[in-house]
Amino acid sequence: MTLAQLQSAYRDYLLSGDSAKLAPAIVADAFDAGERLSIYRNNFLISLGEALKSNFPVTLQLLGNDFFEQAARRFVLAQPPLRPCLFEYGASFADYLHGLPQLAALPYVAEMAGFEFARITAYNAPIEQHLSTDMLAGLSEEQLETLPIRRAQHTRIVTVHAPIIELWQAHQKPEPDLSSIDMTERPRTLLICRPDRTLVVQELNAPTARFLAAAEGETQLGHAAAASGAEDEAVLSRVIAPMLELRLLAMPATP
Amino acid sequence: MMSRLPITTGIGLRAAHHERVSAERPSIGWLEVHTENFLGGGATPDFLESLRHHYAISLHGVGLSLGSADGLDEDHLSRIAALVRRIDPAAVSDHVSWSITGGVYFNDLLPIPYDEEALSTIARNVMHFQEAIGRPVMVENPSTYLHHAQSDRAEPQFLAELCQRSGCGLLLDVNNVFVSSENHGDDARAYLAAIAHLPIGEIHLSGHHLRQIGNRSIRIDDHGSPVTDQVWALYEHALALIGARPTLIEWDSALPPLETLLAEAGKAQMRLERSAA
Repeated sequence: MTLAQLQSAYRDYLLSGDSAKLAPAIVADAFDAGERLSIYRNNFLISLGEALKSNFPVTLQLLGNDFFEQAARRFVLAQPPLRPCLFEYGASFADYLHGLPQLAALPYVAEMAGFEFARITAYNAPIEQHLSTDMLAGLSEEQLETLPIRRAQHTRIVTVHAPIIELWQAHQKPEPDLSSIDMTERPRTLLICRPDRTLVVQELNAPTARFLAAAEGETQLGHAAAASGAEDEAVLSRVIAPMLELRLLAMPATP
Repeated sequence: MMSRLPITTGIGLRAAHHERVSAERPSIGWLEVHTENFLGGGATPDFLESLRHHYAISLHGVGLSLGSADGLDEDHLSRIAALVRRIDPAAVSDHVSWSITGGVYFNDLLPIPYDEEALSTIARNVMHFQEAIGRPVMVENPSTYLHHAQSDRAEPQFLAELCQRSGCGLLLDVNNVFVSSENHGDDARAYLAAIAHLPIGEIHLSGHHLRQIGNRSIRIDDHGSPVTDQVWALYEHALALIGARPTLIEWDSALPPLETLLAEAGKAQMRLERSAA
């Protein structure tokens, strides 16, 4: 077998558990090929299950260890990682959980997984030049209007219906007290960002959410301001000032 | 030079201990981290950069998949090269194994056959790695649980040819030598004698466990317990053969308190000093 054929046979075995193609390439002795290979398959499945537990700690608490491990194992086999940085693994885990019939009555579980992944990606986003109050101070009204901006890469916007922030906070304690959390569903737009070294999470008001949605790709400050729907300058400045403080706006790279 | 690590003991630094190590700066010779955990942006590489002012840092990769027939993931390699430029680590290493094929990452150190094609593949990948980061690297001998039928040479010979062809050094994991030797009924001391002349820049020590399969048992390398007495004895034998080398206590699963890691490092330090006396 060439090395490429051998590694392809490993891939098929690790993802299916069927060792028929790979077994002839393995020396059988006190242990048969299947027993020896199963050690590697266990390592593969268990280590990636642990990686998901590490990336989704509150989702793990909500589901309980046994259910989480079963779901993680099926997810790993269906959607194994494509890259070696495991803090990037699990982008579609929330969608996967959302599709599980057993969780149909518990939609907040998938929302929590989406929230937890957004936290990780915000935390690991690159540092970039952010727009500051000082930079805006010397600009004319026309310059402000046409200033190129975009949402900083550490900024994540997540729409949920459950009280995810409260649930997440409650689960930071060893014995979560959920009795005071109002589980009534309503649309909530959450901001997750990392202005410096620590994450900030808050619910967004509608004008700020609209502003940030308009600035997802490169745009002009005037366009995003108009999209926010802020009715006057005073409202607009109440939208923009906190965004500058949280370093949510970046300057697109100049050619 | 394979490594600028001090000839003393270090510990593997994991996320659960970041805060304490940063705040308390325990007395330890050096720190080793898994490269892949620091390839994001933001605060994580900042943290590593702040530590390098106080400790020599070793970047130990687990995901480059040096044994892949597909070659190296160029994007991953360029992220590692950027981290090496930023941190200027005292040592850079990865494994004699593979983990990526057809665009899937299996997160395990999968075994390669010890034959000419695998040797030329991994030597080519190691050289590409070294060119990308502008310095020689070390490769670690794996724990193995099987032999490939197509292997035509023993692991020590394979490692010697790899070092010779690529100019890389060896990161000698003494626990892995013990685990593999026991699992295959080989002589661990003969293994050490066969690799003693290689450019060994670092030693790893860690724990393993015994798994029962029917009425037989096999040793599993899990980095989840103290170094066993048999591995300490093999370490002493290795030091007598090759001389004192920077030595790391690795612990990944069931991570104990920092004090336990430092105490294990103390045991290694005692042996290291005895060997140099």
